[in-house]
Amino acid sequence: MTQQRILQRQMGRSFSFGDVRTIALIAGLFALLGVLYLVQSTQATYAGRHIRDHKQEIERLQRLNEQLEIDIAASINPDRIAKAALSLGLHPPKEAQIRYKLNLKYPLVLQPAKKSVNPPAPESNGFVDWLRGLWETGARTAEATSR
Amino acid sequence: MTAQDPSSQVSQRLRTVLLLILIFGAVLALKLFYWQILRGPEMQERAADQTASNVPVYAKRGDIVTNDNVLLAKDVFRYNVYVNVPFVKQPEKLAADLAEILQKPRDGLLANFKMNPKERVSVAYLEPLETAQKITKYKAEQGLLNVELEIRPVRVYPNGSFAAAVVGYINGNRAASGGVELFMTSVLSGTNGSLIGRKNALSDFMPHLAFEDNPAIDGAKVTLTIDSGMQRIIEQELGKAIRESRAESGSIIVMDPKTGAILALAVWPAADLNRFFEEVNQGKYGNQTVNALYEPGSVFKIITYAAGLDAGVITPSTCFQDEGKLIIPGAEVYNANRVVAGNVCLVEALRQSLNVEAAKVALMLGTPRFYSYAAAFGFGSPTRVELGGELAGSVNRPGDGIWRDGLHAYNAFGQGFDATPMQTIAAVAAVANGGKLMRPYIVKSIQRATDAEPVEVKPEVVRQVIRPETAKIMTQLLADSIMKESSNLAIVSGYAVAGKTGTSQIMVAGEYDPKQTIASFAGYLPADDPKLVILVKLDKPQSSIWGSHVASPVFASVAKQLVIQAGIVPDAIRLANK
Repeated sequence: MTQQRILQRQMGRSFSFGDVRTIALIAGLFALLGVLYLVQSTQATYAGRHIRDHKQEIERLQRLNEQLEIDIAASINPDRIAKAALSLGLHPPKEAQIRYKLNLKYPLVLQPAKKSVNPPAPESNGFVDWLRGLWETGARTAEATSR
Repeated sequence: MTAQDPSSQVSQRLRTVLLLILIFGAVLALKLFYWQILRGPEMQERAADQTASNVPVYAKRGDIVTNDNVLLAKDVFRYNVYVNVPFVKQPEKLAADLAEILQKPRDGLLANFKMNPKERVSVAYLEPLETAQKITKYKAEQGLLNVELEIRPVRVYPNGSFAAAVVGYINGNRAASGGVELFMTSVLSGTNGSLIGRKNALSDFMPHLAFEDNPAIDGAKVTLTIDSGMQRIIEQELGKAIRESRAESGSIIVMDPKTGAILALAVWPAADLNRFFEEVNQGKYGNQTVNALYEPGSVFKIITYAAGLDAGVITPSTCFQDEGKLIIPGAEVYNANRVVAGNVCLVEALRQSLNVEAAKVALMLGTPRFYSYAAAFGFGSPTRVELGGELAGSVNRPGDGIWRDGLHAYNAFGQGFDATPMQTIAAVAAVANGGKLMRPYIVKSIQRATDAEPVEVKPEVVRQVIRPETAKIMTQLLADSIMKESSNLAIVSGYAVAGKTGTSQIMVAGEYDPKQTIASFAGYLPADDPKLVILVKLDKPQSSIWGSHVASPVFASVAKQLVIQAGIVPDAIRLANK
């Protein structure tokens, strides 16, 4: 075989169709992988932004909610309510305006008493009698004085 | 010249190209080896530093609310705005844009940039969410990297000075000062979290890369025993009393004697907690019901007589021959105004608030027993109420180096030792509660973020100090001493009141100043079934120095409104049903 033919054969092998196809296939595969990666990461980024936007919206609503809670608390300030009520002509009741009505049948259904941590000592008749006596003597004058 | 073989020429060129490629490849490989292997770890670190982001996630401090759900303290988030001046290309434009968003003068911002050309400067502090959103939008539109937002929790007190002494205060460094804020700080604080991940050039998180989300755990919500209606009443009455008596300061405490729950607590002066940091003299706003000591004066006679009755050294029918003075080794005791009362029994001794008789009872008890009762009633030790910085007070005893002969004769009528108003009301409440000393408490429940149900604080019996019978007798004596004097200013129409006035002189430069007093009244009602114990204390009143003149009417005025607020039926109607 002459040198010329050997060279031609070598050149022919270097640029054969099969080799080009293999290289193109590999390059295509890499490109496909690259595109897939890009698509994936773009989608993930979009999803991430979407999540971030939602999180920001949640945060905004939370902050708004907090501010509303504070506004409500400030608007129902007991002093403010009292002043507003006074400006509307509403006044706390005076003693004479209060009528106590006793419901002697109350409670209609007796419930077992809840166990108290510190139940008051049972009332003795003596103490109640003392109080009645106190009212008979002193409290009448107190009532008169307070008027 | 022979023509060169063409195949040899091609081979030569191929070899040259191959050699060049090999050299290029080798250089590339060497470079790669240098950057990836030799300097690889360093480069990785630098890359990580540039993209790594560790954002703190602040826990919100828990809310503080009253028993009827009035919000007293809450955390909100605010934003600090910073500018990295070295990276600003057009300072004039940035200053103008930020000035518009932040509503600040443009020249001020520009001057700030020029004065700190190499710094990261703060341009706005604690801005609301709306401003932060405008800044974020502006950053995105302009693609700015040199403007940064920092989120910070801030304590807000929506009701200003309402219940200020109870709530306490959180300063700019998030440190608690006084009140529930200080006492419950570990419960209220919560645990900060973090968001660790990678950020892009716009400082936005890249969520598709690995990140670690450690959420913050917010602090617990604390519900107080305070009733906002009662609180408003006593704050109004205290303010009125301070104005009318021209007192320097004062306080009112309302307690449920059966449980120890503090229903209302007011201190004057009271600061607007949202502006507390602006106050020059912050010290004057302490909660004097636990953070300051006073001599309780004649209110302490309740304790002395109760101890005497319980120990059996006196009985309800005991009478004394009062000569207006009592001279013993180490003490000379006189009645107020040097009154000589003659033959007096217990009710009259209480009504006239005779110091000599109280001293006699203390002497009859004997020193160890007198101090043993004082300690049992809680004097000399903190009450453990949930208010920060509570003082224990000091009751000197024989052998402690300060005590001297005759001191307990003075102590018998509440002079010569220190206590807090909280100790005094707790001790009086023990008499009202059948002799059981309850721990005063102001926290009703704690709701942790991680728990489904709140933890309720239970009333706690500290000890049985005196027998129930003694407590009843003492209540009768106190009620008789008030109710049988028709001109007594503590009388509340329709309700039997048990209580005692106090007028304690204030020590100035080692001497008691008779013109400077602490006027007080401690009482409870209805006497036969106490629902409310009220302590009124006015410091250095000018209109009158006497507790019976300035504190008693405040007690009556407060009690009249509180019985309506609490729905306590007048005695006559209640007794008619028994």
